[in-house]
Amino acid sequence: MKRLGLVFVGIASPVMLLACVVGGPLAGRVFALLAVLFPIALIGLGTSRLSRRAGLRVALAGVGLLSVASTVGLLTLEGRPGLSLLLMICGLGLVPLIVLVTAYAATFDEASR
Amino acid sequence: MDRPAIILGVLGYFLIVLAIGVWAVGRTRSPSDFFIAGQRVGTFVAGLATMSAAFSGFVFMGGPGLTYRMGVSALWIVIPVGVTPAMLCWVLAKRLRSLGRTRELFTVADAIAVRFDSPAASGLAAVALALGSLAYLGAQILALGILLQVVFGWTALGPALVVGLLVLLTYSVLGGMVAGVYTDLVQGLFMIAAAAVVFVQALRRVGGWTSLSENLSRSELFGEQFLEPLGRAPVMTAFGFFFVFGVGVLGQPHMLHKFYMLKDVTRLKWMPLILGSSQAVCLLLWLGIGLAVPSLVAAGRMAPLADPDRATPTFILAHLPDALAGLVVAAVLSAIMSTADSFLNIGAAALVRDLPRAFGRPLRRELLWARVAVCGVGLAAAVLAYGSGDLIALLGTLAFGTFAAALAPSLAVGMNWRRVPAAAAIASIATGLISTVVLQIVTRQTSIDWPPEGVRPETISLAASFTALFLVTAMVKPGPGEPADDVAEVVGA
Repeated sequence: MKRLGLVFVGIASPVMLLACVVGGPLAGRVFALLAVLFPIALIGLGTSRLSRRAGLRVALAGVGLLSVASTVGLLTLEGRPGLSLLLMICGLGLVPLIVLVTAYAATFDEASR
Repeated sequence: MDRPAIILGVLGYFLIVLAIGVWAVGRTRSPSDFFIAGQRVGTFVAGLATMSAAFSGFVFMGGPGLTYRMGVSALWIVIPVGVTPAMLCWVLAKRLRSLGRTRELFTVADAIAVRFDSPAASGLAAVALALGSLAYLGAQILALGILLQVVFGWTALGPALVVGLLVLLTYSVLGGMVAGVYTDLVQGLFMIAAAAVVFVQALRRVGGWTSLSENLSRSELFGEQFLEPLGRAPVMTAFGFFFVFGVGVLGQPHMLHKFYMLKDVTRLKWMPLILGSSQAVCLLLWLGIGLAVPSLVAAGRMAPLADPDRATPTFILAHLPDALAGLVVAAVLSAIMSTADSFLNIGAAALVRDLPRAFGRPLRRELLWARVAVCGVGLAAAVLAYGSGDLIALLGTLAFGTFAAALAPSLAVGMNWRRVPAAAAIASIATGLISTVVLQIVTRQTSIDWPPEGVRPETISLAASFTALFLVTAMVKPGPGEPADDVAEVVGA
């Protein structure tokens, strides 16, 4: 997970910078997808010593997939404010909060640093 | 003001924080006590103190105003709360606290000095900390003055600034972070209680969610787009907010500082739960007032706001019973002062600890000088606030971006990847600092047609700072400059 997180952050940073510099609809969509995955990748980078815990990997992968799905939904839905608001609040806010907070407590290892 | 319950609420709140300041005097005997509360703080206190320091007056005053202006698109600033509490703990909290077991770490610049063994990197970080703290603090003191001015009905801003600053300085100078962290706890509890009550009250006032959305959708002023997440913000703005406020928390010293204060590293287990749940509850105030006020305006039950930043005080005064209004005003004061006391401490530490150490000249009587510096930083920020008007509010909003771009990449990646050399940290911090200033100037020039639509300068700065860190790391060959054994053990592979 550490290596994956590191590679993602290392590649995403210049791509996001480029997207900001050139602008446009395509750049905006690429930026959006990278932006929602960036914190997940950083978490992967920070959980190196726990990477063998399958539950943690599943939780991070689940939050990552949910974030991407919610973002794609938000970028494609137009004129349906109720659904898109639900996607933003639950898909990118509440559900990740519950999953990540639970995963952190469940996999907390006092011995590791 | 003819609302005695509100004035009583403010006075009662001031008495509580002053009493905590006096109580903390006897517990503040060393620089460790003053800067990191002697590392005697439990999870609950640290979690709530982190929340109340993180949520400044902007969340309670500026947030609803921003929602009035740009609809639910404004929520992109706070949606990252879904990932930030756990991310903070996974990426930095445990490592910072673990480093504090073997090294004397009081500040973020201390962590950078220990990790990279570079006075230039820690000195640059100290410059970012000093400038950002002054700007953040100035904005908080100005907000404090304006709120007291409204509550007490004073015509001039000066006396309100003096009273607010006096209360803030008294408990901050006397009790340092011992007072700071326990006043933050009380302030956090005020904020949670007020947010929950206001949310319920706001929904009741507009007749529930269905009525709220119908009012807004039918309104010419707000329209259907108001309730669409991308309705009033371009994609780059919305997800730029998510990126900066999501990843940028890793560079916010007022949050990271709290991790040093924990009794021991095992206390971190429940930290994301306490931090995340308290933040989620507090955001109900933003959501409640931010949606209720436009809905009431749309229904013709409230006049359109000339100044959207007055959404919160307008709602409090017009739609809450007196006792509740007193509690909410105390909560707004709490949000402002809990952030301000953190930055008084961090700004003072940058001046009396971080900068002298970066120049190889640590001060002898650090505790005494810290107390003097707290007064100096507070006065300087108040003068800046009084003299600069709107400019200081602008600087306040820039401060988050400055900390994010200057500090987040070196800390987040540097603390988790041993390969990052000091040169990369220096390049990243310098890129963050310089690009923040330059881009703020460039984006205000009407003659320059750049950056593209919706791209915010702080987004570019943060992405550029991460890029600089990786670029220089790739260019510098591994070898000399590896971290010391105890640091390497914490940083990992």
